[in-house]
Amino acid sequence: MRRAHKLNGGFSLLELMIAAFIGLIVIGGAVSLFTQAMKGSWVTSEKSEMQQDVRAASILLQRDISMAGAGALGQQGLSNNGVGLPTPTSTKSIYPCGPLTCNYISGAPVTYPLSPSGVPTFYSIIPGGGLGIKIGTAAPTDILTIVSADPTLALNCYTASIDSTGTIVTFQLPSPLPGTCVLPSNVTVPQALNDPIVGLQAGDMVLFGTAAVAVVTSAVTTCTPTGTNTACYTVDFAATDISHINQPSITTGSLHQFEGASLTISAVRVLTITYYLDISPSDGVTPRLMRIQNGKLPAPVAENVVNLQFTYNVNNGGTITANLSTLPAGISPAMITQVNIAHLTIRSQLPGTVGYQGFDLQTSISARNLSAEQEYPISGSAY
Amino acid sequence: MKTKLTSHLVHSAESGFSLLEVMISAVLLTVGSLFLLSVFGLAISTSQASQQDLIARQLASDAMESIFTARNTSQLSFAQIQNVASGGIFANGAQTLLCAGPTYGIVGVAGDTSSCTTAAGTVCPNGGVQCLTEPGPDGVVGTADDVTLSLSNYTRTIAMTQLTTGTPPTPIPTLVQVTITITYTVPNLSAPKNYVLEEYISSYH
Repeated sequence: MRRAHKLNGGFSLLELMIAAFIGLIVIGGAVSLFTQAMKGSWVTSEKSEMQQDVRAASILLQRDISMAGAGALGQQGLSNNGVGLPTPTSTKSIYPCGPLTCNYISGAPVTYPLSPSGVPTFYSIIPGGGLGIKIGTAAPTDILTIVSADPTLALNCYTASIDSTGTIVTFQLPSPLPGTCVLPSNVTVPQALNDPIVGLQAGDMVLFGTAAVAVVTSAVTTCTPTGTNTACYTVDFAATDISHINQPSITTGSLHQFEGASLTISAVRVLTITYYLDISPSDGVTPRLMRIQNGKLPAPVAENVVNLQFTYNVNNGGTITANLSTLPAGISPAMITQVNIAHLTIRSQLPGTVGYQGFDLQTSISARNLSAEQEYPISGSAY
Repeated sequence: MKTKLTSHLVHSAESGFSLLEVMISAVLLTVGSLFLLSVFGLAISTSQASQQDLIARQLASDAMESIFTARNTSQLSFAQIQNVASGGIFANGAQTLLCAGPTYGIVGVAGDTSSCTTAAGTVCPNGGVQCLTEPGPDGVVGTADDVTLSLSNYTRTIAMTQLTTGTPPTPIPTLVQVTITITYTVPNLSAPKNYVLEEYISSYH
């Protein structure tokens, strides 16, 4: 009996308690290890997501800014002086505009900056210091608009003639092609203007020489070419344009000035790109960096961007001023030689959560196409 | 006797670890786990270092862009795009990250620097060395908990090299090699890291 008890004997209470205690310590250690690992992987994934956002935003911004004034645009004078827009008494030209509305930033459209002589002007770089939304109690964020020629459509191969109302332009393709015609690489004949992919669409902005900008308001229609012309398209630039750039009743700065004339200067399509911050409508909290191209819907570039500030270096007749957050009187946007991203501040996810971090990007981008223009202004030549 | 033998054999076959053995193994396991913990720390600090790498890249391209701007606007003569030692305006050797000065508007120019400011407009710490303004725990810039991150652990060296051609080598007067080296220290890594950006700049626009 006593032997049997010894043979099947379990642990004593003391042994059991010690064993349980040690087991508890080991499990506790394992749990804390697991928690640490979870926290570490969360922090790391937050950080990598944040860095991806910073990288995406900075690459796109740097590419767009370095293109400011590029293409035929620079040669047509936009980089030096900008193109004067109509100067109406009431409905001023506004930006940025998508296909439906212009109220993308802070709910209120922005008017184009005035030139030193008081004319609303379309510049290659349009600074928007303090025109963006406010996030929290901070100062208003900045917006930035960059304009460059669109190299994908050979619009400069066409001749343009404007009807007597100043709203309908007939583009004809001459034969032989004019010297101003520069085709995109791998394209042998100028594309049709009603091409569904690269052709003109409602919302596209067209620059006519150095004198006028106009916005396409409806689909392109074909017409019968006259004389030796090989193709003919009719494009509407009606007063219904929501950005109020088409103002046929005003002569200066509108197509009205060309009424009935056959333009010898070529037209070019321009891309107007605006960067700004907004709050995501899906949750009403997350701030995003947005990019809108004229006539298109705005597209988010990066989320959780909480600050956007630009400064500018300007060259005023040889006098350099660096890091201007707003351009003082007498300094026009045409004098900008470099855009500095003073703050592109990003955060990871929502405040207060584990692994919460922040990052601030600061860098500079030379406005190459503008700064070279300032030394070598080329007038009257295309490319 | 027979029974006793059987009992001894059974006991031996089913014998477990002694308490001492278990305790020793538990201690070993804990020590091993602690090492694993330090690996997590290393993983986090490595991802922190990748952020520093991103900053270094931007700092290098920042300097290069401003040199190109100055060249394009003819604000500098081509001979000025050299180190001070070679008759140019760029400081020799590693420099702390002070902001561009009022005369040239370019970083790294000897004797032409200014203090950097935070997003709120105050002078950055460590004598105005470039600093980042992070939003802090509340996720909003412009509040009291903003984190100012001084880039005092970075230096920037802008070195120009005159390129030569032929034998005997004759200098190419229209081409200069620009090497921008960003040197920075990261936590948990004793040796400083370098990011090197090498570009060529010609006198033609």
